[in-house]
Amino acid sequence: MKPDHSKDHEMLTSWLAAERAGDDAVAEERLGQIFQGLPLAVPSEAFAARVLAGAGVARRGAARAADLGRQLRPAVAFGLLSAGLASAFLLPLVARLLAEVDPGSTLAAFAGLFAWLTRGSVVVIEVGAALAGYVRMLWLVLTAPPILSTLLVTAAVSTLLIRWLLELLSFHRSASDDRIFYI
Amino acid sequence: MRRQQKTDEDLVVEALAGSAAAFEGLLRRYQRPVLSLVTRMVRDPALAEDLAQDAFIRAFRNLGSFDSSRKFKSWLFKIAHNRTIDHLRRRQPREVPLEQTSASGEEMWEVLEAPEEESPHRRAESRELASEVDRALSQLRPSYREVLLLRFQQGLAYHEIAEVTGLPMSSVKVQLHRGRKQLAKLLEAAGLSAPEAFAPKPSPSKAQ
Repeated sequence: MKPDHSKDHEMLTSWLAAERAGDDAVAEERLGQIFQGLPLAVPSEAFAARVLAGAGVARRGAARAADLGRQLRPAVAFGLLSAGLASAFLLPLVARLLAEVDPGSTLAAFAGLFAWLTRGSVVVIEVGAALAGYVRMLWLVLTAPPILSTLLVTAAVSTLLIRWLLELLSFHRSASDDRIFYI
Repeated sequence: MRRQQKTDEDLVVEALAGSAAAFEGLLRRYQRPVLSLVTRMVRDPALAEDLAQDAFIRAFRNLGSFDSSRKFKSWLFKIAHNRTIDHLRRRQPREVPLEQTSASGEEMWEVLEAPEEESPHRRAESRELASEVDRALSQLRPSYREVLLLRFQQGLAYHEIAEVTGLPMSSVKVQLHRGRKQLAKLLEAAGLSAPEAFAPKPSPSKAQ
């Protein structure tokens, strides 16, 4: 039987012959075959986890949500069962209580509650009107040209500083990094 | 029926919508090609992993700026290219020839793995050719090495290589042509065109 190593030799000599003959199309095809046989690098086991953590991607977020759903299922079932049992005991008790309630006193209690809520609403409206007055005054002060321009400049400088600090903390920059945003 | 594999574009859209599985999908698809390219460029497996990791993190964090009219693969390789070139430039003043950098041939092979579909015997002999090609590649200047790997290992088109490297297409073609010629010259000089070049050699264990 012809030894297998001839296959590599054939591939190589065929490419080299095409290069010598100046046959670019064949040379490219043969070299492509040779390169397809080049091994690929195998990343370490922690590579993927490090990339995802570094990029701030929640690891297997969907799977984790599904796990949480599975863990919650028994709790939901237990809750429904408890509610069923409780209602079986509580319903007769509630029915007996309702039978003993006087409709007149209940109506009076509701009327009292309504009057209390109305008084409360008036107080809320008064406080709201006072606050609106304060906000109007504050707005007039803030929109005065010197104060407004000072605030805008301060906000812009703070934003730039925070962005610069984040960049500084996350990566060291280099000129060619900027190019990735323009492709 | 086999489920159709999602395209890069689908995965990018899903990742932008917050799917962690889509990020993992993109990572699984490209971690070996990107790491292979960077490993062959810097010839230091540990450093290559750091650079590839940095490239992926950068890509994922900036996925929002990815122009979906372009190919994700080219964009990702461009980021990896930038990281690698930055590193090579920084190292330039105390540069040593790439074939003499920290990784020995054996260290390189520890992280490089032959395609799985090959039989162990075929893998062993492919490894012999691949190791010779790798050795010759390491003697090429990095720009030639990179265009050759992008074209022939990653299968990128000329315009995609131009996008990745930032070179005009005409320069890409010239570099590819020169790189091929130099690689051929190096392999011929190593005597690999001779018929006995790939004859089986006794393994060290058998020789003892």
